[in-house]
Amino acid sequence: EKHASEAKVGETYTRDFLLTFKEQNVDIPPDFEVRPDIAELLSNPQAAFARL
Amino acid sequence: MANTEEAELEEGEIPRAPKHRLERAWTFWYDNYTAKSKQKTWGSSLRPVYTFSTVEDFWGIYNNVIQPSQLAHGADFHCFKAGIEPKWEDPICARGGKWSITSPRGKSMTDTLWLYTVLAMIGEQFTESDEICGVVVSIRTRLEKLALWTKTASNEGAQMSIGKQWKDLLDYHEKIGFIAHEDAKRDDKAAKNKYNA
Repeated sequence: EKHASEAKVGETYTRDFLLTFKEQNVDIPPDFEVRPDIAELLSNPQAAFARL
Repeated sequence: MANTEEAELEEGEIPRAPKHRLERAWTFWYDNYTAKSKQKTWGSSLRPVYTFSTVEDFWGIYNNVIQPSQLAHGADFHCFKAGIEPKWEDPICARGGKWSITSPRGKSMTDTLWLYTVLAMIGEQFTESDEICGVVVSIRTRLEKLALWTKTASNEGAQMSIGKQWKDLLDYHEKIGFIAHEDAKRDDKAAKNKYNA
């Protein structure tokens, strides 16, 4: 992959490369812990709690 | 017999590509001043939201939390290197400081600047990436503030490099200032910029 470098500086990714993943990753990660104290942060808390 | 993972795939189904690992793990934190009772000390409602270490998990969170401009007044949303707490008392932050961009409430590009800053950090785009602690967006009644926290306030070369790079990465052309945490602690709002970019 052109944009991901594995040189000794580590994994670097440009903004444009990272942005190409935005639309494909719309689901909350399975290990995300939905808690009442962070519910106000979520764009759709009902849906997030419903998956518990 | 195929192993379990392979056996679970339907015919014609494409196995999920491996996730893109970031150089290091990052943690989102959330804080909300106004939700606190007066008895509580500052920082006591600071709570970790999620730690991620892949590009895919970052977007999974980003796509499901509200934009910073939609946060309640008094809210702070942070993205810091995992293991660093976004407060002055953290041993890694203690001798650090922050570059800040402040804009009037609702009239700014805060959401975009926040996203671009986080992407630059997690994509390791800063030359002095070891000096970076994290970024925080703060929503107040009249203003929105973005602050990029760094480790060693006394290292002028590193701080100037980060300040200039931050402006370049955001295509931001206004002046920005760097305030050392120890100056902010001592002088509060009267604290002077240690560096300007």
